[in-house]
Amino acid sequence: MRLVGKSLANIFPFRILTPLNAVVEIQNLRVEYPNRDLGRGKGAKLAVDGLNLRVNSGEVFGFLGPNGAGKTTTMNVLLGFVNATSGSASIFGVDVKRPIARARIGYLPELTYYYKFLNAEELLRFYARIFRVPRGEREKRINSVLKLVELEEARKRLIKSYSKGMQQRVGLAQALINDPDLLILDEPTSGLDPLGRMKVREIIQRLKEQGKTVFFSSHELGEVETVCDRVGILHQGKLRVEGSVATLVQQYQCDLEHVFLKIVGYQPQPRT
Amino acid sequence: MNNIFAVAGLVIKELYRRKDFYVLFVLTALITLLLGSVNFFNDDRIIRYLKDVCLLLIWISTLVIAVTTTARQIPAERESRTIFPLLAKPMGRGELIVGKFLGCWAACGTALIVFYFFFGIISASKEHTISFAPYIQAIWLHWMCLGIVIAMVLLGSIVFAAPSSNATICLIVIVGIMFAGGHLNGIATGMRGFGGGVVYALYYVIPHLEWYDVRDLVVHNWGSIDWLICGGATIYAVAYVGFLLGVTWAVFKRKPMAS
Amino acid sequence: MGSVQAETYGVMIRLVILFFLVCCFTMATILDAQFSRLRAKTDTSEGMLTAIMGDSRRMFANHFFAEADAYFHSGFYPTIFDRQGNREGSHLTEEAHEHESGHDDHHEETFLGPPRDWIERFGRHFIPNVHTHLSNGNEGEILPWLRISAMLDPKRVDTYITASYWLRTSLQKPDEAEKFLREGLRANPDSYAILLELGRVYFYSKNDPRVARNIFALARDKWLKQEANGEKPEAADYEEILGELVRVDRQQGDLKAVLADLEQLVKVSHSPDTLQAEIREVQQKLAAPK
Repeated sequence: MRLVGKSLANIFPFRILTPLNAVVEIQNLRVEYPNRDLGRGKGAKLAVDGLNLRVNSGEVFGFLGPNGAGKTTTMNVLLGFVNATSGSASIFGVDVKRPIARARIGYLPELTYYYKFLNAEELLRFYARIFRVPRGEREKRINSVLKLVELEEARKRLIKSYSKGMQQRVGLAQALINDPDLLILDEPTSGLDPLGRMKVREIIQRLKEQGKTVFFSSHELGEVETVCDRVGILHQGKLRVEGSVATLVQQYQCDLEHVFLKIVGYQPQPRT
Repeated sequence: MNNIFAVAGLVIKELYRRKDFYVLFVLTALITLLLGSVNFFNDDRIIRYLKDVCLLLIWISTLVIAVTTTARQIPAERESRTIFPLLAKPMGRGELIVGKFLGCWAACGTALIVFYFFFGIISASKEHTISFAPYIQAIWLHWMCLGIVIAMVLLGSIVFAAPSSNATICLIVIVGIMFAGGHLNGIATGMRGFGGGVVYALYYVIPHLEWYDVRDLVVHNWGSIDWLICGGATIYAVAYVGFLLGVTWAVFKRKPMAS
Repeated sequence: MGSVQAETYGVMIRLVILFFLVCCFTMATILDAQFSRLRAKTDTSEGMLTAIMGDSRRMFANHFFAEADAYFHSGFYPTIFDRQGNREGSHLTEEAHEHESGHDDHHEETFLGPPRDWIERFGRHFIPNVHTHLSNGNEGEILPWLRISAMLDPKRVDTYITASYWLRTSLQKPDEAEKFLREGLRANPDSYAILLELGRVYFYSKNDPRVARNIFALARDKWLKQEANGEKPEAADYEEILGELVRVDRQQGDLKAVLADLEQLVKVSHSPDTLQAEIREVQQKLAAPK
């Protein structure tokens, strides 16, 4: 059975089992890392504690939290990099432990340096092959994603000669090569200049217009406010709040940045 | 298999775009040609030393290529973080391991063909004849040996953190096995008690890489080995490769992959 | 004011540059002399090798001599593990002597022994496992290693003798043998063994008994001188030198000289009875009316 790009959705028997519109579903997720300082089996660090989360189809979900809050760990569970200690996580109704769960997702990791001996075209061809995109369609997809991330002119240049912004954009291109229904973006604008950030933001907007589901983590609260439909704020492994940006702003009577600071318990020092 | 071949293709591309292979090939060719031009006592029939040196250089070069290429595969993926977008796709860790192995093995096989083609030209130009069977057997057994070496280094790349330490340890182990592996039984017989038993057990556990080094047979024109024996050596190599890849996969599967 | 300062600054810079130029020139004159002296020291290949490898070159020379022996047996050769407790070093020189004297007893010897287990039994298919010797002019294959061995350790006398033996016998290259032996003599001017071999080149291969006799006589004198100096030279070599002198003098028909050689030889020989008979025979010939 060939699993090809979008047609994959049509042959997924699991989809009908999930509640309508739920793309990502996390239930009572708990992740513990063994604490190496204490020695094996002598203690553990709790990274995620009883997380329940649901991301609906077609929405842009901002996953916020200070460093060490458990955002990346949650993403790692969704991508199958880390096994959950307890609880469950599924994507399109498929348990994340199964590689097939990742057939309809695109993932952009933070700060990745792609194979420097390849050019953008070859890199995308490689990833397209893994997704079993048919040969005929492969080139069309490569052209369209390179156009989207504005790397058409640099497509034949080796990646090692790319700037940081270009690296990030080629990363975004690889995340889109399978025309995914769900995009998981880990700090997509990290380390980019304002122009680069704006471009990435525009791309996310365009994907949203195309009806894609985007699940992304960021520290740029202004960016989240502009792009996201809903946000979830994680602190010390627990989901503290979840809701649309407008609701949160109304509920806390301040902008998103202050909502965030209140939730993580930040007390500004009075100026002397 | 699609994913395995995709990863393997990537490794092959990496090898031919890097300069390691070209440098080692040019070095081997230069040294061989330089030695070939030396006149020993006005006797132009002398060839065995040249074949010997050329084959030694081929063995050293291919071992270096195999070990260094394989040792950096997984650590480089982790260091540059490309392993995350790769494993975030519908690709299992086992497929990644097998793909890396196949890529390194095929790349080394290609390098071997180039090296042995050069050796064949040098040998035939001096001896005015070439026996194909021993020549093909030498290439085949050499390739099988590299298969075990690559599987061993791949396991090392999961266990040891730094590629340099993995490469050094693996090279020492490989050279040690090739040099003394076949004599461990003799050493064990000379030892008494528990130590002797341990050495004898080690003798049975280690892959006997020295079998695959048939340079002496080629250099001194001993003729070909029985094809059944070659087949036996191939099965032995395949068994070790399977075992080592299995262990690699088991260890890799347990490794947390936090991005 | 500013222009004066700038001018002074410019002069200063020029002076500094001049100073550096003078320094460079002075250093060049000193260093050049030193470098020439060093080059003179390391100009020969031996000097160069000693500078690079130190005393380890002797170890390598021995290794390459053993490699020549391994080549002579087409790779059927013991490793250091097989050699444990057995004879040390090479038997290539013995081989040369055996060929000369017609002995070839150790052909049946094998260092391998019966395989201890299936791994060893299987492994033997991948290594040379039959005792053979090079023949039909293929003996030349050992020569590159002997040449390298001599290059690494020019004081190793065996290397010259062994190479010369194969060059003058199987390979029929007495000129090359002589050239190599003379090279050895330059490095070992007191070596009676090299002179003995050189004499053989002249006697057996170049058919020049007169020169050969002079060389054998020189070899004998060197041996005697070394013995007188208490250096304990090889008695067997002395026996061989005298034997060659007997042969060359006999061929020349110089019976007096033969008698003198035999009288010397009988003192050191292991089979004096045969020699006594020979002496009597020569004495009778000398006493017989012409």
